Amino acid sequence: MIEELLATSGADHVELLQERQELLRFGGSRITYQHSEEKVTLRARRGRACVTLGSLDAELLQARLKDAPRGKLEPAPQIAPRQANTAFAATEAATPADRVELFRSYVAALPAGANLGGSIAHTVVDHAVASAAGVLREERRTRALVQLIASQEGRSSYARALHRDAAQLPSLATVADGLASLPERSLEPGRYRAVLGPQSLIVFAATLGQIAFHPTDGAFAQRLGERVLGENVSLVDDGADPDGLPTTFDCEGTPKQRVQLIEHGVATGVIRRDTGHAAPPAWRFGAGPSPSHLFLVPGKVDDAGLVAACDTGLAIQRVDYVRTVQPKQTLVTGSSRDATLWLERGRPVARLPQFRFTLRLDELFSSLEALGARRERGETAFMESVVAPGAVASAFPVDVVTG
Amino acid sequence: MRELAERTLGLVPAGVEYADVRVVLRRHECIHAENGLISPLYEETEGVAIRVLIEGQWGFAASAFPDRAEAALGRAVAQARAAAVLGGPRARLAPAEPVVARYETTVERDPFAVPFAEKQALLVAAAEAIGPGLRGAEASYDCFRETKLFASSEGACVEQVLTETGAGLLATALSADDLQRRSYPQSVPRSIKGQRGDFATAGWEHVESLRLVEEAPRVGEEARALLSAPVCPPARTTLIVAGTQMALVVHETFGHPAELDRALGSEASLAGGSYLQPELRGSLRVGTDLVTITADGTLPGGMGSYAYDDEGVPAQRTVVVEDGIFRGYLTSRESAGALGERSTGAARADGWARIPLVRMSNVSIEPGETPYEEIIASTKDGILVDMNRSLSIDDTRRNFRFGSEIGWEIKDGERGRMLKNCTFSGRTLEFWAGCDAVADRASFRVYGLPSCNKGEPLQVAHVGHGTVPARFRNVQVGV
Repeated sequence: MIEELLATSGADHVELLQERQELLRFGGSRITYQHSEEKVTLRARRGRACVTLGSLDAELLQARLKDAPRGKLEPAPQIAPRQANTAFAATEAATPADRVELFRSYVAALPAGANLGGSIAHTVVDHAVASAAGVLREERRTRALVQLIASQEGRSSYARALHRDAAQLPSLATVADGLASLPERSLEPGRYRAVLGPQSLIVFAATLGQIAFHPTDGAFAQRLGERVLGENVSLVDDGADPDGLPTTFDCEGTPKQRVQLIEHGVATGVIRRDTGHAAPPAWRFGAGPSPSHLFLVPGKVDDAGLVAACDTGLAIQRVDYVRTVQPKQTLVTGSSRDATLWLERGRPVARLPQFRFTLRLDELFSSLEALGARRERGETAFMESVVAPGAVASAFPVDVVTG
Repeated sequence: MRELAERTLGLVPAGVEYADVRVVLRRHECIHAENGLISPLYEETEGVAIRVLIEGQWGFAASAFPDRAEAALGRAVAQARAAAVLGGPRARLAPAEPVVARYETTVERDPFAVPFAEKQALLVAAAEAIGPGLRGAEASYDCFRETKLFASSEGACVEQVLTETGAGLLATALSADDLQRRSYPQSVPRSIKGQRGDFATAGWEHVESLRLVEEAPRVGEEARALLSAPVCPPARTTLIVAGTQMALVVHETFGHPAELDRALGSEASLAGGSYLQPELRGSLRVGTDLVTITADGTLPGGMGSYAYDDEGVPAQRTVVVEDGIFRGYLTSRESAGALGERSTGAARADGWARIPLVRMSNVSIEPGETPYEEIIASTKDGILVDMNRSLSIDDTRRNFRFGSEIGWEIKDGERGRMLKNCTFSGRTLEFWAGCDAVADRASFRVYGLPSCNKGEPLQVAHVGHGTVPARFRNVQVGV
């Protein structure tokens, strides 16, 4: 079909996404709504003109592109996509009853009196790309996602599971741990030692990825070969690694290459279109290439070891609304969310109020004293998958306590 | 559209308490000019969405293929029945009169009919007028047209054609260690095609009213000047928030908290909750008595203006805050029903493929009594900030941090030197408790923002904000 659309439209390049998404959403331990969607996204480019249709209407495509001058056709990449298993039957076959049963089991696993919010989603995408220069790629991708927020008497706890295969979603039993009944403790602005949970480090890594590795404007683009982060930090973008959500080619059909972005704290690479990191035209998150599958290389410390290594300080399960303040300085701001606890002598002893932080990501990733061995998988609206462990930061800033 | 909706409603099986069908066609045209290059973009999508309620449980399915509407209905029914097996609390819809109506945005000049060459010429001239020496000099125009039909099992049938038009400038200045941006006439946190500039429910006349070519040299000059401007020093000081920045402040600190679905907890898992809880209506002081906030879907030209929401409820004006006291919510039929009230007509969906959520219409700060010039003149020492550059706010909207594209010192009642990297942060209620001046109607302007994110799957709403500048005492500014 993609070749026919390319031929009849007169486009330089055609991309077709056929998507089916099913979702169950809940709050207060009740189902708030469900969602089922089947859609088509047909993107075509001719020169600098771009047309996106929600249908397979080749005639409309042709009519919309006919006056646009043809662009310079870049030769198709000679390398083949690496092999990766991107689609799984269990995700494709999930039904509304399966999602309701999953929801029921999560509610049943919570302590009495706790409430559950979150969502369960199953997605199937058929992605095809063809160009007049000879590119032709097709791939089916599946995605299963569960997000849980458990709450009880003002306490809340978060967990997320993400996998291409619904049958391999990790357990989320630990979500109840964050609900442990602990006294409240006040918090003063200042800098504290902190254990950053994997889901919080996923957000920080993704935000760094968004602002640091663009080939011209990225914060680290002009600093290749320099030490920019701590020696224990290595960061890779790899679309084929099964520990993420594997995807073998980008929106232009270019095979995704493994790019070592940071090696032992030294900036070693940037992502480019020819590494398989093109962003679609009119992408909501800006123009130009963007990392898609980040991996923070793990350390050797188990979860209990991270808490012990921190000894006294903050335990931050998740951060929220992290936004860039000054991209060149990697300066961001955000707030804590859900189970944020106070540690003393290597164990949680109190619950902390929500707070705002403002920090430089290069400083944060230079202050990690220990990295965890266990990694979690996550994603953001602008990055397909991010995989990161927990870590101990030597000085995490607390600016404003919400109280 | 009507035939498809009626045919689908006719297939709704027994046992369904309520059903509605929306058929939506959305067109978006964008032209972007940068450094002499023109990039046209056209988007078009059409689909059908069906929502059913069975034993108080929702099912929703949408399809890009109108001939698969019956299958989509089957999926929605299967979902609702699967949820009904669990029992649990039932959704209850507030009563609504079933309306049969048609509405179309008033447009003086249809933006889709304006010749491409005319649009291109304006944008090229505007981008060139920004001037040299910049990393980027961009001008862009967007128009959206949504033709949609809503029909329900209660007998409602509403057809609307909403046209939204906007344009803007963006100058980007880059040095070895700094990147500064200046936008006009409104900005968004990211440089996203389709979300740049200021929008209105209007035609091409709105683009012409923005005077892009005339404003461009100032925009370019300010971007260049920002590179060498001093950084806003950290201080607790008096802050004057200009109208463009105020749009985002009102949006985040009052708009989202006033969405009743957030307050009731149904968005807690993603977008978050709200500090405006139902039991606090009529008693919670959220600002000085100078502060009045309204949500008005009928505001002429506002980007959040429409005749009926996506549940067929008429758009209306709601007082959110009156003289500093929290009064009311934006609501849908379900959220209003949970409080035993009637909907305020604020349920809107992002296109055909999304379920209606409680969304802002035009959430505005009502003008005060003080001329803007007098606010400046009566400020001995402070900072004036303009145009949002970044924002972050917690999930219940109780603490925030905004960054502005540009600022100026205020000394002895006069605007002084330019400042860059201006930020201000604080707790929402303390911030608005420090509001001691709100500019008068002469400064009132409605800004359109096509970039409000909420929901899962993500929905992007088009909203408006009427704003005036205002002054706040004892605010933390600077990094």
